[in-house]
Amino acid sequence: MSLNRSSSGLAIAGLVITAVVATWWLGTVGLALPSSGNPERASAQAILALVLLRGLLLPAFGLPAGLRLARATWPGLLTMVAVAWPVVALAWSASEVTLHAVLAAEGALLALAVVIGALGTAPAHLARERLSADATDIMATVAGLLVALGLWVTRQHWIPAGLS
Amino acid sequence: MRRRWLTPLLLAAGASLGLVPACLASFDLAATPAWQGWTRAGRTTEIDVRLTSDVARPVRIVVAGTGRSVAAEIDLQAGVPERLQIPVAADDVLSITASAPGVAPVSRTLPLAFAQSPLLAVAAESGDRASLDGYHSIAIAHEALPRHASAYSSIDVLVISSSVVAALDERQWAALATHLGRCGRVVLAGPEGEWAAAVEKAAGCAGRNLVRTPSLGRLAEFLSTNPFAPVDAVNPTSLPRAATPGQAQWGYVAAATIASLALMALAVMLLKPFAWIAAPVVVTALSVTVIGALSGSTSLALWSEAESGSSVARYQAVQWHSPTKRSRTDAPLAALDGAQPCSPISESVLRYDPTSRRISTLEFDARLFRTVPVCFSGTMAVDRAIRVSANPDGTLSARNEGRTPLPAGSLLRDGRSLELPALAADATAVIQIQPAGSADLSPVAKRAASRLAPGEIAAFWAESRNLGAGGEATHWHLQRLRPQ
Repeated sequence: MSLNRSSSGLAIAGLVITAVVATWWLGTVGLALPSSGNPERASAQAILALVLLRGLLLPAFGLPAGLRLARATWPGLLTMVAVAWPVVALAWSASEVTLHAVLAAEGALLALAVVIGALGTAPAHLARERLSADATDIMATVAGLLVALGLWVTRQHWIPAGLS
Repeated sequence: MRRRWLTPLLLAAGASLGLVPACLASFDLAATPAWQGWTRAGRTTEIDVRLTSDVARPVRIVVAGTGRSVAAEIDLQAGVPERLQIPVAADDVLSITASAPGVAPVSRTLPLAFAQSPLLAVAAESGDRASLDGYHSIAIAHEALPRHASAYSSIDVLVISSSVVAALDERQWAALATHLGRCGRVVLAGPEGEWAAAVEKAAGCAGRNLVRTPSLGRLAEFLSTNPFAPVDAVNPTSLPRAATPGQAQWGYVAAATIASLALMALAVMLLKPFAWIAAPVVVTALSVTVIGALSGSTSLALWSEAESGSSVARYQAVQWHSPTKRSRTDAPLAALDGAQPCSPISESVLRYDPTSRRISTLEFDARLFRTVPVCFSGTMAVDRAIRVSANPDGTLSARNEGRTPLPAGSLLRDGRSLELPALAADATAVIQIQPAGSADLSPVAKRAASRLAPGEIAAFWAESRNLGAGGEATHWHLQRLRPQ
């Protein structure tokens, strides 16, 4: 149950950020269309926002979940990445972003999800054997935020050039 | 070692089948710009392309400038020279490339000269010279005059003699007549005659921009007392349209987005975790397929104006294309003259149809929500003759003096609109003048009324038309009437 609950929490977090970005994207495009604005730019920005947000939230939410459970949370992490695909695909249709850049970004996010999911096994066991439950929670949250911060600082390196 | 004899044998076999000569044979390509290469920024010119091949083959010709190009495909016959005039947007340098299967492409580069001063083109008998202060003057032989009316936009004034008009071929005359109909500035030199009368008949704007002069020597003096009238053409991109095509697409995309998010929420709630990953894949494929399967829309707005008694109306038109799928798209264009993208479209190719001698297709990179406008300008035949006269009781009489029935429209005068009923041929209608409510004009009628001089009266019609490219086509026609 705890695996299901934790994974569905990750999937719902992915759904929420997708819904927020989709609302912004559709709103911006809807306002731009009557005034001959630029839907292509808003669409490219929506893709970038989805890639960045998922990239930052994967460690911020995924690491604490994995370390707390000491089990792999891959289904939730992979779904957190994948739930944005319909919006990413529609935004790509309206943008000048290349397919290669989008595929590279989504591939990087899937790889990140796999890596973070793997951290839910061996390192988590070690942490739970040596630390109390509260300390593990604190350590997991801090670790997640630090990885997210590291990804934000190094975003120029892992986000494909065609997106930024 | 055993294969050393194989290559010459294959070549010999190929040669005997006629393959090798066909592959090695090339073709000759020559290209000449209109107006001796002179043009002005933002204008259209014409490239005269000549091709000869020693074998029959299909050839693709591409005239490319910066970011835009025009392509045409023709079937060359062995030893028969082909000549093709292609209208193209002016650019610093144009490259002309002819390519055919199995032959190395042949290219020519044509630099164009951009004049800072207005251009004066003189097409007269040899020896006749004309010049105007402030104009850059170029002398043009009659056979070098363009075959497309849009190429006349490169020059500001054409000076032409009656004898040169008489020597024009059919296409050159059609282009000149269209230019005259669009109120192009033309000075006609020479005596009265059949061709002089034809030029006067073709001139639009009631002939205000056609100047007759007996001698080119006194042209400057003559024009100082008979200046050209400013040409006030409608900006086609400002023409009204029912709705932005992208707005309809937006509704579908919003619905698809909401549906896909709802489906995935359901999948997370109802399916097992390891099945979740399949849901976004299926939903993504579904939403992209559904949106891509929606038919793209095209709409056309056409604005034409004619003077009373004229058989020709000048028009400006715009056609909007809104595909729904991200792909390379071929958009068929309306059967109208002078097609050019209203603003530069990156990586676009206009296809020139040598049979209809028109730009027939626009090839461009389509995007969801992207609307691509193509502008047209030219002249069209009109068969509408209406006479309006004032009656002693204060009403107006409108009489259809033409041979065809007239649809219902409106009469415009001094910013007011009066209802004009449909009129059969030779029918007359009495129109009551309503001083109070008739000033409440629609936006498009206001635009029409704003184009009239004070006291000028005009008939105005709005109709739906089929212009050969599918989609919705709205045609507004403003016919100025003679005051009675």
